[in-house]
Amino acid sequence: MAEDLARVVGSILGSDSGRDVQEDEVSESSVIKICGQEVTDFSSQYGGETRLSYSAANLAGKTNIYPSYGDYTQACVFRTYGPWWKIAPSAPKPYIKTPSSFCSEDYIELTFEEKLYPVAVKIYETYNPGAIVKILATDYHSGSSVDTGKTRWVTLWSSPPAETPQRSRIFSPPIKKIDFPINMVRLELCHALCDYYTELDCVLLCGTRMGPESLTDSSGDQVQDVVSSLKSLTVDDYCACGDGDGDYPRLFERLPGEVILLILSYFDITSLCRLAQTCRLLRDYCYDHLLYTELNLQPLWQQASDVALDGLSMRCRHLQRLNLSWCGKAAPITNDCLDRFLQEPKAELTCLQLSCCPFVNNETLRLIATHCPELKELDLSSCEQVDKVAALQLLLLRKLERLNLYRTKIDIHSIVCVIRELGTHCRKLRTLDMWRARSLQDDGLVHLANNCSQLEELDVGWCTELRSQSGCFVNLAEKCKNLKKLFLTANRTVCDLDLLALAKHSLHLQQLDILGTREVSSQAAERVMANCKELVFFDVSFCAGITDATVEHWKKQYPHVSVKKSFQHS
Amino acid sequence: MQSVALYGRLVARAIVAGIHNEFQLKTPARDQKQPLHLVTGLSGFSKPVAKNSVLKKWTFGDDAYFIARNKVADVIGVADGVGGWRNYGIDPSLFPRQLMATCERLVQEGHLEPQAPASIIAASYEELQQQKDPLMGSSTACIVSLHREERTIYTANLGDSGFLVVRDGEVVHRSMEQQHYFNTPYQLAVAPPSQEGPDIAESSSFKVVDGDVIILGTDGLFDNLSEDMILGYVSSTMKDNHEETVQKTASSIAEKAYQLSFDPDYMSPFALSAIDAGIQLTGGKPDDITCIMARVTNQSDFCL
Repeated sequence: MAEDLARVVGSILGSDSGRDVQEDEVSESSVIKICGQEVTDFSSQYGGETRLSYSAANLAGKTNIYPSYGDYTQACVFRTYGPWWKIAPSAPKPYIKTPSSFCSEDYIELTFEEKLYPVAVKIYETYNPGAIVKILATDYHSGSSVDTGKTRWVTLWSSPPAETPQRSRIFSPPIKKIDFPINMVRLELCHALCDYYTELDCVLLCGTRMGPESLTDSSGDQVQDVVSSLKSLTVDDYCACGDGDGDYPRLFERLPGEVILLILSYFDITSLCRLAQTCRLLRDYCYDHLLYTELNLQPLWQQASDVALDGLSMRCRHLQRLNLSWCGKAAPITNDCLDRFLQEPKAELTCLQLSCCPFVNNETLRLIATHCPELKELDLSSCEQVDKVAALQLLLLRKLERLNLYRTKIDIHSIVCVIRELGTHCRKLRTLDMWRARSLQDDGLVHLANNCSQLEELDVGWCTELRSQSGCFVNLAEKCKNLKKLFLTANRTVCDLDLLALAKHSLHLQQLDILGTREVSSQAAERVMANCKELVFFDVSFCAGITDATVEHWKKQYPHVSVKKSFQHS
Repeated sequence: MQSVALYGRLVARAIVAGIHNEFQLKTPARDQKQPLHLVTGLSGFSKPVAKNSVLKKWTFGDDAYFIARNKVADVIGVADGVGGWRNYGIDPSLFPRQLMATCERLVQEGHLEPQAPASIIAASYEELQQQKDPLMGSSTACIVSLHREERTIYTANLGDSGFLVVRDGEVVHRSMEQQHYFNTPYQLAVAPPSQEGPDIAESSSFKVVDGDVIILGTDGLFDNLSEDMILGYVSSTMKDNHEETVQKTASSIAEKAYQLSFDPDYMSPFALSAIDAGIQLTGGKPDDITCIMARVTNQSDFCL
């Protein structure tokens, strides 16, 4: 009686958690479904930082779009998709020794208000599905070890990306059974195969409050199995490397060192570390500095910690490129440890990636500026503690060629100062990403075009202050003849004159995005495709002057150009 | 003698009424502190179509509306699309519909201060500019938000839609109409960006009690029905706080406005203000009509 009343009142007042009771709520082993409460972290998002449209926060809450299929503002959308950013002039070189099984490009973490033993994770994909490659889970309240500070993340499912039919779906892959309840899910995505932006509506966690019975029963048996198999093991004295005892053929020792190093150069970091534990000879080879000229710890973000870094540091005397992106979330990494680590490469480090690292702050930048004066590439994207104080440290890095400050708190004025100070290098500027820089004005763009004639890549998407009427786009086309990638996304003033100027001057153009302008006709757009023979990507979504039929016709006539026309089905 | 008796009776009646009022004031404190909420009813007509059939959600012709609730407040709003866009090939109902849908979403997801509905309009306007699809059009906007615990309504009005708050057969609070000149209200627009930003919306707040009736409507309603006529409907039809009653009142008011809008001889409020502006006009004003009726009710009185 009381439950009935509670349920009625709950449904009247509107249940905010969107819980859906499957069966009689009293039974603890029945499966309940809850939707996400809050998105706590993510690597990138299409929407602006303070807005709801196309932002990562839309993944929380109940479904808003499904079963519709299309490009909706209520979806969770990431910043990039497909191969386009990887073939742009600004693309960073991939790291050697990155295991091929690691293909995650973006991640998003979602909490739930209740801890459940997961039975299924249902992801509502409402546009270009198929990007999810990994589902992990943890208990974010008590999942951290008090001693080591490590958070226990468990992988519930993973699989390489696959081509998926283009319609809305509820993606619910088979997940591993685990023995602890979780209230946070992490999705990792790889959208390399996606035709356009992949968009997610919501996530439902289906689980039980009490652990499944079967697990507690069989776990006892499993322990017994392991113990008995351990007891049956004997230590085999045979050692392929030998230790000075004359009885054994020391085959490995006979190989020249260069050959051993060549073999070892094919191993990734995990394999090298394991191999180093086998015998002294292999350990010495596995610790050879030449194997550690590039170190990519992003696939191992769950294991990266102070301890790991301290252990690796002595091998890193010739380290040139270091990728610590996503690290520091599962286990703590401190500035002190980084201080010790960065001293090893003795200023040879030229590329440092710290994307989405929660520990990076202004102090970290001071360390970087002190220890790495030769740094040419620095990626600080999504490091939310980095603000304009850090910008001062950036001025000390005189050799910088590539800088990524996406989603940091450095304001536009500091960025302008940084660019101006590195003035001698500004003229050689090749790529600039000013996505959503709302304060960028026409005269700023003109100034940029006039001074940086070697510009190859420029992204001024959603820079709403730019107006075609000022001639800034035409000027850009005329002055920067090397332009390969130009994104004018959602600039509502782009018109035929601008396209004709591009068709005339930008003969090396490879990627062009003019989403959302009504002022462009299909004739002008076609002129760009005819003249720019290197064009491979052309986004004309939401351009009222270009119809779907025209786009279909272009796909046949210009098969080397990937023409994108997104849509909403209302 | 008779007049004395009459006088005496009047006095006696006044005293009794006074005592009665006092008695009412002294009702137990628990009634004073209860949160209030809105029981809503909705009706409307779109101009080109004969009878209201809800063709699309949240619209009547070029008018749009929303009703939303979150943990703290009940919020209702209307937006009247400016029909002139039709001449340029733009559907005038798109903008108001998106504006109201975004307001509804913002309210439901609890992103905003319910005490500042002008901020809801502003945030919704900002969100509209974040859409990939370029939106063109303009509309008025009027939002009334009831903060349940505070028992206060907060309002914001931009343009010539409006609201009335009726208590005991009288209008105790109303919105101010915003017009440049006759038949040209202030309006919000996305492309081209309008001179009127959302900050010109006029805001107010007002304490309400159980039994107050809020009538929120577009100009199609208030230009065809005078306030007295609306008051008449409210007092005659709004007998209790059931949802059906509120709905019935909304429907009858909207129906009457619709009928009168086509009457060529009726001196509608629209005709009267036209005459004030020096234009000789009679008759009603055919227009999209939207009427949201909301009765302020104690939350515990909510009937299923």
